[in-house]
Amino acid sequence: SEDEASARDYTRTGADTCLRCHDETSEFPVLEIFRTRHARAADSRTPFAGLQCEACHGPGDAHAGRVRGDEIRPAIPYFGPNSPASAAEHNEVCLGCHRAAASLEWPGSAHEASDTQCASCHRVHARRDPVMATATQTEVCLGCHVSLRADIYKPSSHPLRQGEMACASCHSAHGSFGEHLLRTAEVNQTCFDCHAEKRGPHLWEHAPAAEDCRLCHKPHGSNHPALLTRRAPQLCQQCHARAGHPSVAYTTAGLPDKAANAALLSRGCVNCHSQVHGSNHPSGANLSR
Amino acid sequence: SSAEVESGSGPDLSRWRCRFCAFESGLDGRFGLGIGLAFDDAYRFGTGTGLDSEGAFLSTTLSLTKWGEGASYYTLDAGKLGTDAGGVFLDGGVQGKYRLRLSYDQTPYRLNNSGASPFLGVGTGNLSLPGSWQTTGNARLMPDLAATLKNVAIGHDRKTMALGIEFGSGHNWTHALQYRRRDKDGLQPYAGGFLTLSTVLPAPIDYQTDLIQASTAYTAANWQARLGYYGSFFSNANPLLQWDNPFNPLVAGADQGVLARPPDNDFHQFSLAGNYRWGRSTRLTGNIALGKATQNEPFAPYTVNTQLAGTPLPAASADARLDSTLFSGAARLNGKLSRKLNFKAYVRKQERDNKTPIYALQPVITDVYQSGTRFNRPFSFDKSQYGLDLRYRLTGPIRVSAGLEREDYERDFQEVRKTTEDKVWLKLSAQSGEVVGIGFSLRREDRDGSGYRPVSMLDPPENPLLRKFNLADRKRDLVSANIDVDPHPSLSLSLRGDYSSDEYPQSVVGLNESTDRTITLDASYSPNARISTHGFVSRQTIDYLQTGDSGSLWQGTGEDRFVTGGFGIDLRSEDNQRQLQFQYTRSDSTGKSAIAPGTTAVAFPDLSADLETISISFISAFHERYSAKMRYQYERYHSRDWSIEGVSQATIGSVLTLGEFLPNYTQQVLWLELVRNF
Repeated sequence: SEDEASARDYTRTGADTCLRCHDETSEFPVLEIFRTRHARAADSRTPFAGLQCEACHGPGDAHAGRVRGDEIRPAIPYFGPNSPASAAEHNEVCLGCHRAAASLEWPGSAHEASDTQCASCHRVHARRDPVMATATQTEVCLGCHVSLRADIYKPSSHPLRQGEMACASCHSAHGSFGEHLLRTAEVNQTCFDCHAEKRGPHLWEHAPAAEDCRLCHKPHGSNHPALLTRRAPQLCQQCHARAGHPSVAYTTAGLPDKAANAALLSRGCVNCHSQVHGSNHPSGANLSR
Repeated sequence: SSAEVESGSGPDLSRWRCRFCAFESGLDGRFGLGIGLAFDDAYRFGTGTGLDSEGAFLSTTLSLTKWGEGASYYTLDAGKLGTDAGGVFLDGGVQGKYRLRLSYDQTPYRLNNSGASPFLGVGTGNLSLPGSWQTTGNARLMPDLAATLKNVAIGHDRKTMALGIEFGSGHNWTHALQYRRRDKDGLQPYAGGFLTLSTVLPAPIDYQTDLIQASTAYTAANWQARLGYYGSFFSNANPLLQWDNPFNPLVAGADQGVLARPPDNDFHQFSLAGNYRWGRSTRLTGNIALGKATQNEPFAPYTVNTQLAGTPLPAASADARLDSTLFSGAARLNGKLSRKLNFKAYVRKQERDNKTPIYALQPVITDVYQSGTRFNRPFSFDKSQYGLDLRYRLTGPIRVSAGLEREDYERDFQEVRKTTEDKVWLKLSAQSGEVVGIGFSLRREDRDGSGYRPVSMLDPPENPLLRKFNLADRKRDLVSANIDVDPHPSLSLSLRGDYSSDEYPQSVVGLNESTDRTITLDASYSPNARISTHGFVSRQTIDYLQTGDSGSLWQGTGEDRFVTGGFGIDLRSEDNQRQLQFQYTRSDSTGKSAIAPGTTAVAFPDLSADLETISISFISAFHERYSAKMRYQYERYHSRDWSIEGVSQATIGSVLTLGEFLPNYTQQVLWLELVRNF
């Protein structure tokens, strides 16, 4: 580790040693870092105010030294192909400076437990780190969460593929106190950040809506309007079967070319019971006012 | 490392001159200006793009950084300027001292602009019918309907302005303050009815939310703490929506109705979070948050029907109060029990304590009849989760993980007072160098309730055979497997399958079972730094079975199937002066459903939605400082939906709808820009 490295393990000329090979024509070009805030010598916290490339990559003398024709060049200690450090050791390099910003919820989080590295998501050398921009972040996340890629193309979805929202709009990749790395400890509080009109509390509550939005909605994408898991009347009839119209088996007899049925067409049950998120009307007991 | 340098224990830096370091100074980035052209009107395509109609628009690219003296910097990024989806983001400050952020961003949501309504005053809280309007008892017979219809566009614009500042004080303190104002303006369909006759109204969205977040944090070598505040202040310019009844009044005086729209609400939450580390790896992480939501919007009268009005309200407003107390991760302890064994123990607790008074109310149902006394039911719940996860590194790259969790829910005014869910999971993973990685996981969840009792306050009572799916006993199984193969440094393949199954063994009526199966193949191939390709294909099937009871039991089934695939190519010239990107994606969604009122199932027509997108972009640097950028996008969306197709305003005699058509479209957009590189 860096603690055990002695002064002679470092290169003799620092970044100048590295940049002899790692110019724009190399397999691993690095010069774009000079267009980032990491390369600000006037900021004493940055790598280029100190050990330059080796502040993050570790002592590089062995890596930069001469190798014979049949020898394999030793790997750079951190952030390089075949670097021997573990995920946690890699992350400690970043957290050495970024502990205040990124590590409070990190211990024990899902990404830490799965040995995710900071560099798995962040591109430190890029002028604009794609994961830090709303328009490009989703693509970074989908690189690992491959089964979610199809969701953003579903007929009803949040505007992620258009770059107007990103995974971090709802999730906190650095850890959280809620489930599924949601930004807030409660599911609904995450939703209310954008959908504050649903917060209430209402005079007449619809308990599932107050409990967990996901009981009726699939936030990653759905085949039904408004990200619903299913559509009315079937969705409503999974919880409402009182005598009368809630219990009726609505069949194709209610399609437009037959006896067009209000419970089936247009908005289904919501054609009358529009206050599915709760009502503040004193006569809103059945969520129709 | 900085400490090493400062203490002199590090390397000799006298020869570290950074002569080859190409530090930026002055202006850096690029600015592009050009023209774009949308070939067609395509309202739904405007969601997130702002390009909902045919015509030319300004095409811009803006990504600039001004590196100032010392450690100061300013960045300006902007996208989609010239459209309704534009945004501008400013970020600047002095590194290590303070950081300021200012942004303005618009997101358009365009759902359907083919509907039409006879109402006047669209966009306000008072929808009136033309003076000539003649009411009837059936929408099909409304004589003035066709002549009075006016187009309404369903959708809204979300505009967010944000201002934030971060700064440090001393060596360990950091402080942050962010203010956001979010406006939503537009129209949404909202139904208002009179017992059996209803109208889908173009209801106004005119919302404003102010959001404030503040935090102050302290970071020490082995512990951190953060005190935070989150405030949300929502206001609705139209808390009530009044409309004229287009139907014959069912009772005298029922010629107008008033709906309550989302009430103004405030939310405050204070939180204290922190972590503490013992030794190298054991950490305790915790958070406590205390929140309060209030809502005190004045009540509408029970009815605007003058024949039924007059009953005094028990209060001027709901005086709704919600105290939420969160103890999340208060005992999330993780660390190593041995060199190979990691553990995590955690507790999460969430309490929603609804302190809204219970009122004796005399509702007038849909302005048509006076019901008996009804009491509101302020819903509260406590949710607790306790869990233990273990991770063990077997030999070399093989890892075994296992975990247990218990989740308790206690609810007020619900059919089940308490549910307890036990969860257990096992995961195996192995990594062979950087060539092969595999993972396999099993999860079983078993939920039992304390007994299902119909809620006595309901009249008529709920079917005693019903079990609501969020309260019912449930057995859930989840299985997932993945294999990632990188047979060559240039080739990467990933295959993943997920299966989940829910069964509700006690639910005679309600949701009986549902399953979700997904398989995804993802591949990328980059033979060299100038060529990269990738592709994916995914198939997901979600199905369910439910039972109803209309005197005799009936069954409903449904299946949503998604097949999505795509591929892309990214080519760069050897001198890095030209770049060509191509992306093709296609998503086919199908929805099947059937109802079996007897022994024979009756299938509904398939729902379908096919989305096809092609994107091609080409950038060529023709001068040291200038490049040309061209982008073309084709997108086709074609859907079938039996709940919309053939449903005009009057098709359902008892519901006057907006009569929308399917929002299908084919859109092509071309962007041409000249880019100045700094």
